[in-house]
Order: sequence, then structure tokens, then C-alpha cells
Amino acid sequence: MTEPLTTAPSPGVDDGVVPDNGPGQATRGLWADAWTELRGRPRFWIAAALIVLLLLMALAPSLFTSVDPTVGLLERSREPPGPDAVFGYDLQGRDVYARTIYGAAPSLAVGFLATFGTVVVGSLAGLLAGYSQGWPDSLLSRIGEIFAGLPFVLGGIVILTSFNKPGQIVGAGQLVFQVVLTIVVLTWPVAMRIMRAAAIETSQQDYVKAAKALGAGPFRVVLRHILPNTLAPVLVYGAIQFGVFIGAEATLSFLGIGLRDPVVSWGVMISEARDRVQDIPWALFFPAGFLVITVLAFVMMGDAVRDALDPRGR
Amino acid sequence: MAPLLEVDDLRVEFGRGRETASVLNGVSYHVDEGETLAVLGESGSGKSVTAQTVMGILDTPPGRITGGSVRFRGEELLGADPERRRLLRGESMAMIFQDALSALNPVYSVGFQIAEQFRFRRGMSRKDAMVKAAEMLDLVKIPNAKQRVKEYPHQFSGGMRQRAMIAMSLALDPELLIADEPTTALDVTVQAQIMELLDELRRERGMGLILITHDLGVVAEVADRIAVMYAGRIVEHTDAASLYAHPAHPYTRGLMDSVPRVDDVAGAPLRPIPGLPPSLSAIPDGCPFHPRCAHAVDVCTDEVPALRELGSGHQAACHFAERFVAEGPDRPTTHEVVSR
Repeated sequence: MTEPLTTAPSPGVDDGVVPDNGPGQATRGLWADAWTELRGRPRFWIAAALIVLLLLMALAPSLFTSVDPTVGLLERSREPPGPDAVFGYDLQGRDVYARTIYGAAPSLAVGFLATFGTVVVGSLAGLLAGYSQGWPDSLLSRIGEIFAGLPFVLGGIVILTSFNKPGQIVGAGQLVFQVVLTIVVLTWPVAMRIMRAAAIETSQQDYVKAAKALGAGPFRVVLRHILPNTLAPVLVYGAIQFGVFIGAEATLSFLGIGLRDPVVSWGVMISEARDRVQDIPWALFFPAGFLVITVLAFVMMGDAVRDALDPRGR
Repeated sequence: MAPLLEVDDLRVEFGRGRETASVLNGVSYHVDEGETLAVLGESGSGKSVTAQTVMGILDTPPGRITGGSVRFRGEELLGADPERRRLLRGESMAMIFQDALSALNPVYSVGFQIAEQFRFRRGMSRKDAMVKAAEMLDLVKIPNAKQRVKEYPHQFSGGMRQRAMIAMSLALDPELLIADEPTTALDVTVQAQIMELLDELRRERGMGLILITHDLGVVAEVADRIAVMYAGRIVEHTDAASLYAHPAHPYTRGLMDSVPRVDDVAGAPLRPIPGLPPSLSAIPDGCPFHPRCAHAVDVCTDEVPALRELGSGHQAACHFAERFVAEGPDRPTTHEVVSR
């Protein structure tokens, strides 16, 4: 049992004037205050800059490279990084730099959409389950257990092969959508459990009771009093899962049921390169490095947002 | 005219089957406008459950209201339309809690939380509501209210938080305020200030005040009437002066006796009531207090004493109440010693 209010100052020695905490800026509500807070944090700006750069890469890859990522010349196979190709060439003689740039879009799309879907579906279910605590809780929890009980790889194979017949040609957008759907279906129970636990804990807090005692209806209690106090753990989970989901996409690609040629993604590149680590380490190192930076940027962003939402940290 | 609030034979249980705990076993009390009723009792005696049932914020399940009635200005509340009850909360009746830090939402500024009332119940603009919130903080004597209104609960001291909580619950000018151990989490000097504030606000606004406490000292100064609770029952009920002068129930006498006094010899042992309060899932037959009562005889184990009138509004649930009233207290309380 965690007491969420541990930073409470000791009971006031007197009930008189406590020194004014500087010129407090106008309070305009939770989100406006959080934004004011966020703007003052270097961590937020570093994360934001990285994310903007990555988004630019995803939206306009031609700004960064003029090389076609799918053209492979076998004579250049396994050439190490040099002036021609700063990241070197892979086994098929394709430019690793171009592939990394072009890989950003599908990877980010999968990571972002899967995180968004998981967090939204899971949070809504968790909030409903945790607040009601009656039969909706039992029902949602049991449904969640069914999906959480499916092994990810097995579940992925079942879902994706039932969408596409073997050998069927599928477009990139449709593939991304299918992969995202698979990930969301198989992982939302985790987000639900986190949100449910936080909602149960929060709904037992005195301020929820106090809000009810002052005549707040159920919607206002959930949206204004419970939700802001339960966001922190889900945001952190979402930030960490962002990277995990890009990795999950790679797992599905490796099995031949996720994204595949001609779609380039970091997951596809990593799964192609990992058998030749000793031979052509750069083909693994660069997409993996970009993946790490992306995950780091989102974790930093999640952290900064979480801190900004908590007025006790200010 | 009907009293402001009337609680009649209220019964609440928790749990089911063999685990059933009878938390309230027929609680009756009433409060008039402008009056302070103190509900006195130790932890688990049902003081807070009664209050939450009156407010309509008792968690059901696990709680279950099995009987009785709660009437506000003659209007029956138990079984009333939930929306009607919601509208009464804040507007007509409000409640403040023991620990004001956990009763204020940590993510909103204090002013924002007070302003919410004005915005959603009075339809005021954000800006006007904040001005009103600052006025409320000023009313509860928070210095520098215009600045403090923007601060967060964790930036307030303990006493100030309780003041802010009071401001929040009084925003819509309720006719009844229930204060559930409002000073328990505070140190003694601040306790006195908060009690004084509550008393002053009650007088100014003519509202009824139910003061729930386990502290005899807190009660003495401000209560018009006192109801003593034990194991989910009212065991004694009278005006404050006669409770101190002629306690009629051995439990009340035990409570008064257990308070250490200024003229006690240093190192003298405390005089606690022996034993523990009964488990609410196995309340003893007969008088629920008999296992701990020094005066218990056969009739106490067999018959549940009814709360009966002893004259001039003094009620007690003891077979030998008259005898104890005649005896007076075992020894004067500190309160009397000091005020002499």
C-alpha cells in the first residue's frame, strides 16, 4: 500500500503566515499549469527536439537522403561505412543510412499507434473497472485475463495469418494497421491492470469522498478527481512500451507475418541483420541505435509530462 | 417544525453471512438550526458511518443500510432519488474530514477546488469563481488569501489545509455541516483555533453543526448537546453541562475518568477503561458495555438497556442510570478544574 502523499510537509508549527512561495503564476487549471511547468524543463526540450527530428524523418525522408532504400547492388555487399554510404551497406548491398531513414516512418507509426491504442483502450477499461468495482470490474478483468493469457507470438500468428492468406500481397498501410491491431489486442490488459489499480487506490482517497460529499456527480469525480491522479503510472508504462512495441513489430516481421519487403522498418532491418552481427555489425548497429534514441526520447518525454502533472514536484 | 436533521433508529451492516458486522444498531439523534451536536465515541463506535450515511456517501457495498430513517427538514433521504441527494450535498449539507491533506485533491490548487463549487453549482465564470474562492479563504481567516488561492494543498500548513477544507464545504452556504474529527490531525494550539473558527461560522450563519470527535476536551467548549456512542448505539445523550456534571452511563464516566488531569500527581498511572470495544460481528448479549463495566450485575448480561429519559432531556442507556446521575462524576474533569 503506497501512501501517495508522502511529500507532505510536517504539520505546521503555527497556523499563521507561511512565507509566500514567490510570485505564484496564475492558476489556470491542471493542464495549463502543467504546460507552464513543462516549458521550464530542459529535459522536455531535448526530448521534444529529438521527437520532432524523428517525425520529420518519418514524414519527409527525402529531406535526409536521395538514395532509394530498396535498390541493392550485390557488388557493394557488406561494404563498411565510408564517404559513399556513411552507415555502410548491408548484405544485399543496400544503403543502411537510407534504409534507416526510410525505416523511421513504419516503426514510429507502429510504436505510436500501438502505444496510443493500448493506453487508451486499457485506461478506459481500467478506469471503468477500478471506479465501479462491481460486476463491470469482474467482467473486464476476466476478459483482460483471456487476452493476457495468450502468448504474444502465438496470438500474433493466429491474428495476422487469419487476416492474410499466405503469399497474399498486402499494402504497407494495411500491414501497419494489422500489426498495430495485433499488438493492441494482445497488450491492452496490462495497461488496464495498471489503470485499474491506480483507480482503485485513488477512489478510496478522502478527496474523492470529499468531492462526493460536496455533490460532484460520477462523471466529474472520475474525470476531474480520479483521472489526473492515475495518469502518472500509465504515462510511464506507455513511454516504455513505445520501444517494446517497435521491438514486437520486429518479432512479427522476423516470423514473416509482420511488416516485410518492400516496406522498410527498423524492426525488419534488425531482424535481417542479427544473423550477420560479426560480419556486418553496422547493419545492426544503426537501426538499433535509432531505436534506442527514439525510445529514450519518448521515455524522457513521458517522465517530464508525469513530473509536470504532479504539483508536489514543483 | 421539524428539526434540521433527524436520524431515527438508523441501522447499518457491513459484510454478509457469519461475517456480518452490525456497525449501527439503532442510532437516533437530531440537530436544529444554529445548534452544535457533538457525537462522542472511540474508534469503531459508528460515528463516522452515521455521518457518511446521512451524507449519502457510504460505500455500498460493503455497507448496507438495513433500517431507520434520515430526514432533512422533514424530507426522507434514505431511498430518495440519488440526483436529489446529490443536489442536497454541498448546497444544504456538507462535510469536512479528519485529514485535510488527503481530503484536498493534490493536483489542483486550493482556490481551483473551492472555485469548482461556484463554477458548477452557481454557473460562474472561472474568473469570478476564483474571486469568490479568495473571499472564502479570507472568511476562514487565511492570511494573504489572494495569493494563497493559487497555491496547492501541499504548500499549506496543517491548520491552513483544514481552514481551506472548511472554506470549500461552506462555499454554497449549507445549512448543516458535519465535521468528522476536524482537529484530530492537528496539534493542540491549532485545534483550538479551528474549533473557534467552526463555532464562529456556525453562529454567523445559523447552521447546524455535527461535531464528531473522540476528544472530550474539544467537545466541552463548543457543544450544545452531546451524544455518546458505543458499539453502534447512542448510550447517553444530554446537554453539555449535565453530561459533565452528572454522567449517567458508566462508559461516559470511564471516558471522563481516563482523561489525564493537570492536578494529577506526576507519574500517577492513567485510568483507562479496561478491555477493548466489542467486535461488531459479535456484540455481547445484554448491555454491550457489560464486559468492561465495573458495576455490571446479572441484569446487564441479560437485558439490553433502552435509551430512556431521566428527566430534563437527559437520556441514557443503562439500567442504573439514576444511581450514577445522583452520584455525580467520579472526580471532576480537567475542564472543570481549570474553569474553577
